[in-house]
Amino acid sequence: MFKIVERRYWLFLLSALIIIPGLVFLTQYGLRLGNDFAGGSRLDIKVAEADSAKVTNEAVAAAYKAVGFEGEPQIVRATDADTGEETVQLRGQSLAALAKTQGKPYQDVDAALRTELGNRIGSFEVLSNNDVGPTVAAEVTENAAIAVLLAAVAILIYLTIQFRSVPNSFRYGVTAIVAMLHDVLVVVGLAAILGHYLHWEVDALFLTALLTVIGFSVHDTIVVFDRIRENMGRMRGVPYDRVVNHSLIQTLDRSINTSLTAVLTLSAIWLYAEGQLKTFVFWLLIGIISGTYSSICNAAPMMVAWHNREWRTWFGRNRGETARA
Amino acid sequence: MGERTTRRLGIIVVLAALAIWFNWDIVQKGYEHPRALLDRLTWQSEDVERRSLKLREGLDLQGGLQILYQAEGDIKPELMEQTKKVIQNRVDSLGVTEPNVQVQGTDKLVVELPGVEDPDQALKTIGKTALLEFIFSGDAELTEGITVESSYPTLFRELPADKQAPFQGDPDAVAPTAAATTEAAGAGTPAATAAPSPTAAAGAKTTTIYPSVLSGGEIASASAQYDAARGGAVVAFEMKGEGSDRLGSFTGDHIGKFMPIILDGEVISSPTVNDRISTSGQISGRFTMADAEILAAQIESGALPLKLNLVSQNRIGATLGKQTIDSAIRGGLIGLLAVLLFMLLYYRVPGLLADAALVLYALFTMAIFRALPVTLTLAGIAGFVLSVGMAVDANVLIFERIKEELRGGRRVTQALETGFSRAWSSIRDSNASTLITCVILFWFGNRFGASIVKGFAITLALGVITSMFTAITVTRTFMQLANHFGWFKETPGVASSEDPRLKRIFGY
Repeated sequence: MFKIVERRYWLFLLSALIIIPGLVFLTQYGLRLGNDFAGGSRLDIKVAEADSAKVTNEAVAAAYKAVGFEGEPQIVRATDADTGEETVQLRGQSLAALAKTQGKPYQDVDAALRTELGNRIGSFEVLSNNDVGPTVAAEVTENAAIAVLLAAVAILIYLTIQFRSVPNSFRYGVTAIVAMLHDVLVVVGLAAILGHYLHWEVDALFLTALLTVIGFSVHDTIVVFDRIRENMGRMRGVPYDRVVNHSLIQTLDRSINTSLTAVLTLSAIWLYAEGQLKTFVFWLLIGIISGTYSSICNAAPMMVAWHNREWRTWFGRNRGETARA
Repeated sequence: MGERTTRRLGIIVVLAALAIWFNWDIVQKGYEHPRALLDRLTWQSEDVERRSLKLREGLDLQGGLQILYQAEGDIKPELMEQTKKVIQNRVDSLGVTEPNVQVQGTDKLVVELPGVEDPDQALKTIGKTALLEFIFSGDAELTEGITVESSYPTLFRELPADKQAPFQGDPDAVAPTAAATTEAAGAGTPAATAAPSPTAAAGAKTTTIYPSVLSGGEIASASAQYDAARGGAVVAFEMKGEGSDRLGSFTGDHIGKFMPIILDGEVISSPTVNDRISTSGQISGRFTMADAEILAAQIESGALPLKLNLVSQNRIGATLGKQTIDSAIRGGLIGLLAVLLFMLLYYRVPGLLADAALVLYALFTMAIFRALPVTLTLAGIAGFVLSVGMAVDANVLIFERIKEELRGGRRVTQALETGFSRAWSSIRDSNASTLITCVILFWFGNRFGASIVKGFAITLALGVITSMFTAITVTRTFMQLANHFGWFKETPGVASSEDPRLKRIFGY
């Protein structure tokens, strides 16, 4: 049979190997924040092929300057493979904030920018246009942090109450949160890497995906813990690590099948979806796969490590001395 | 068959009938044109009528405009409610099918206009403050059409005595930009702006600030009238109680002075005070009868008690939304089929019963979404699909447990009983954690008017709750029925752990 608990340190190592590169990117480059969190304006426009050459960085920058923007706008281009139409993403500081400093209504500044752009790059179609002022962005960021914290605390409390009949019920909650943190780090770390190389942005939908992953990760962990709780009563006298391993194996089919069904449906959407939805589903997929891994390979083995107080043997002393309790 | 099972079956049949009746248009469509639903999958037909589902589509799906305003001034909840009503009136005039205007937090107002045809026009109509003010300009007659600044929301009587006449604003208070200065000067405001000098383009500009006597919020009613004596249109108004006292005492003290009337900072007329005015009066200016009617309407229903600044705006083109919904529905349907197939292949007969429960689940949630109605967003579709995963999860938990019990040599009836009762605590705890995150997501989405996030939280939560019913109660009833009709008959004299028939049926 699988010796999941016995090989826990290899599994912890694997997790570390996945998380560390993401952490390096996170500390080095940070996340690429979208308008929702950083504030700013984003204008997605479609330009006819004939006009495509007119969309130069200089022309766009001049149009933004004429309206009163400070700093250079960022320009990201993409060409539709089928139609040959070019879509251009223009980013700059928030128009709402600019309108406020200039004491004009937003719609005037917005219209002025589009007139200036039209004068320089010819006609274009606005696909989408998003603008978030700095104060709103700050509030969203604050609320996002509160939301993640609240979710963690609420789950911790719920688990501690539900597992109160088991010795050390608090540990189940804490371990579930640590496993959840593992998934958050995997997702956020990958977001930092993809943000650096592919300019993927972190927006409100990313946070939604992250919070869902949190819920799902704990969902998975609970099923395993629930079986440990049940087996603790039945397998009295059996060493704790064997109870845990037995419970893991009993729930393994279920854990993998459940993930599989979620991965099946989400992959189908991911294959067909475009744009925002594709990215959203991508984060859900990564998080769910990570969540399943962390529930099986981190959460339950961690309970054993805690039970044995293994940190006492991490430095210097021979491991295994205290392995049986 | 136990009495409880019969009763449960009755409830399920009634609910299923209700759901089918509610979704009759979809069911009928699928019956009359079985290809129509297939075509969705195979991408054959573009004209499959999405509208016939009558699901409310969110901004991101049908395109549209979302605006977030922040109020300025002395913000009270009742003022915010009034502001909301005014905005609601203006939004209604745009003819958008399902607009949404909501107060958010203490000082924000979110406006959502799904499918709005001309977002620019909408921005103008809604964004206009239509803040009507009576200001005091002393002996200066202000030219109609120029833009001036007033002390609003600080009113005349609240100003210190030395500021109760037009005064020079604090140069730092007005953020001056080169563009603003040139434009203001270009508009020809003799009193309002200092002459622009090239060296003093920034920082040195001062603006005359006119004391605000009262605002449009204190006018009870207004109507356009024809004034025969003047030979032109005027707007007659009636003051509210408190406002009339204020106007009375001000006009009484300032007879012979100018009291211009401005709309969003623009001078619309500059009359002199001829007499003490308290309860009612007239606004005259160079306007036609039609202009007077618009102004009267704006004063009466449109005068915003609070100034609104746009702080965030999101505009999504209709084409973008259409592309995404089609691909999302296609992906979602294929994903669902994959799950149905997986359950059937892996869990055999119980899998088939779970699939039946899953179809009921889809019918139920669809009925709930349409009855409430839930606004469907992109993330909402993902939330729904994810909830299907969770619905299946409950069945997976139960079936794995039943297989385990059978492997352990238990009889079928007992294994079914244990499977459902033992799996319950796992299902409860794991779904509770998902519901907790849903509540938090909803709160988060509510805090900044992100209907996308809220849509996800609502569909996921409703899905999880419904799935607990279908995956547990419905599947259990089906399994008991199947057992009653002998589908799970044991081979006599063989332990269930070795029974080849049961092994085939349950797949262990």
